[in-house]
Amino acid sequence: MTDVVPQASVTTANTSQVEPKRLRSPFERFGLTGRPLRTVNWLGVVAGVYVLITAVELIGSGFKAATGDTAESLFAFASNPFVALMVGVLFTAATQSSSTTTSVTVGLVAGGLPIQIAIPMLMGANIGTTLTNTLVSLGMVRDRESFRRAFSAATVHDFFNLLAVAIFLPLELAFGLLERVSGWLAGASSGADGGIVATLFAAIGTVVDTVTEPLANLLEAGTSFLPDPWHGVLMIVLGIGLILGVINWLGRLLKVLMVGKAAQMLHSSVGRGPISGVASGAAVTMMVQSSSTTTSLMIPLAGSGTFSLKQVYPFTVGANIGTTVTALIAAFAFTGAEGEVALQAAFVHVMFNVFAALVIFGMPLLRQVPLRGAVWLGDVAAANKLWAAAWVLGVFVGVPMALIGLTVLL
Amino acid sequence: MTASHDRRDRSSTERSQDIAALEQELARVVDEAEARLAEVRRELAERRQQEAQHAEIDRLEEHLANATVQWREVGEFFEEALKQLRGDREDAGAEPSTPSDDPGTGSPA
Repeated sequence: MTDVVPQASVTTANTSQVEPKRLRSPFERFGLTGRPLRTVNWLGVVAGVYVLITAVELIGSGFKAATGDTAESLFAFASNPFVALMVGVLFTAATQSSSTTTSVTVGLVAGGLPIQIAIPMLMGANIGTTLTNTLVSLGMVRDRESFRRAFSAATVHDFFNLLAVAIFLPLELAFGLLERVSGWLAGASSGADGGIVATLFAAIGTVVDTVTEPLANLLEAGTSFLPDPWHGVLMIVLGIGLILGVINWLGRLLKVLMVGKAAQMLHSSVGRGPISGVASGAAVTMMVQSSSTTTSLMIPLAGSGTFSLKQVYPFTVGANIGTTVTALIAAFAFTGAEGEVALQAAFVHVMFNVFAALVIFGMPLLRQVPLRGAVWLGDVAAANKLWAAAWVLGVFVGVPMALIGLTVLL
Repeated sequence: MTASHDRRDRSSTERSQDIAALEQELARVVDEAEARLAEVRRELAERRQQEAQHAEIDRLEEHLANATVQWREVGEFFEEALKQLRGDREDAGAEPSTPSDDPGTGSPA
C-alpha cells in the first residue's frame, strides 16, 4: 500500500543555482581520484576498524585499572536500571552516536562492568540515537506542512524505541530475558565447546587481538605517567575520544564508498512491502555504520512528501538492527572470558533490536502505536512549536537528568 | 379492442422493463468504469510517487551529505519557540485587562 501525498521539492527554491553538496573523501585533498582513491578509502576503513577495536580494548583495560575489582561500586549509581537507561540516553544524545555508546559499553563490560547495568545502558543508546533525526526535522519548521510530516517521520523512531524499552526493560528486570539469550549466544559463539562457530570466532579474535595489542600497549604505556586510578580514567577518556573520532571517520569513508550500493538497495525496495523496507534500512545502515545518518537522510524526503510515514517507519526499524553490527565488531577486541562477556554485551544490543522489530512491528496492534503517536505529535507540533521543543528537551535532556539527579540526591 | 389494449399494455410494460434493465446495465457499466478509473488513477498516482522516490534516491549522495544536524537551524527553531512562549505569556497576561473579552469585569491597568 502506498500513501499518495502532495509532492513538494525536497530542496529549496534557490537550490537549482547552488552546486549540490557532494560526499568527499578525506583523501581527495591529496589529489587522488578513481581506483587509487577507492583503494586508499578501503585502506582507511581497515585502519579505522583497527583503531576502533584498539580503542575498545583500551577502554576495557582502563576500566579495570580505574576500578580494580570495584567496578560495581563505581557504577553503584547506575545499579538502578532506570538511571543506567538514562546514562545511555544522555551519553548517546551528547555524542549523537549509538555506535559510540555500544562500543564503549562493550569495552566497559569486558573491563568488569556488570551486564545487568550494561543492558539498560544499551537500551538507552537506542533512545538517545533518535535525537539526531528529530533535530534534523526541526530545520523544516518554516513550512508548516513539511514540518508536520518531517517531525512525524522523526518521532516515529522515538516512539518505536520508547515502546521497545517500555516492553523489554520490565521483561529484563523480571526474567533477565536479554541476559539469558545473549549469554547463550555468546557461549555458543565463543565458548570452548561452542563448535565450529566458536572456533571460527576464537580464531578471528586471536588474530585481531594479536594485531591490535601493540597499539593498545603503546597507548597504555603512554598514559602510565599517571598513578592509578587516574591512569585508568585517562585510558577510558582516550578510548572514548578515539571511538568518537574513528566512528566519524568510518562514517565519512563508508558513505563515499557505499553510496552506489546503498542507492541500488533503496531503488530495489521502492514499491515493495514493509519487510523490504526493514531489510533496506538494515542494509544501508550496515553499509554506512550509522543509524543516525540513515534515519536523518529520510527526514527531508518525508518532509517533502516523497516518502510517506508508513514507508519511513519500516526503514527506521531496519536502521535499529543495522547499527548493532558496530558492537559486534567492537567485541573482537577481546578474547577468552573477556571476549565472551564483550560478545554477550554486543548480542544484547542485537537481540534487543531484533526482538523489538519482531514484537512491535510484527504485531499489527502494536505496530500502529508508534505510527499513531508520531502522527499525533506531528499534528500538535505543527500547530504549536512548543510541543516540539518540549518533546526534544523533555525526552532527551529533562527526564534523563531529573532521574539521574534524583537518584544521586536520594 | 380489449385484446389490442392488452397487447399495448403488455408491450408498454415490456418496454419499461427493457428500459429499466438497460438503465441497470448502463449503471453497472458506469460503476465498473468509475471503479476502473479510480483504480487507474490510484495506480498512476502510485507510479508517479515511485518515480519521485527513484528520482530522490538518484540524489542519495546529496541527501547523505546533508544528513547532519544544522545547529544554526536548531538554534533558530528554539529562538522561535521561545518567542512564541513569551508571546503566549504576554497574551495570557493581557487577557484579563482586555475590555472586549469580558466588559463587565475588566480591571483597570
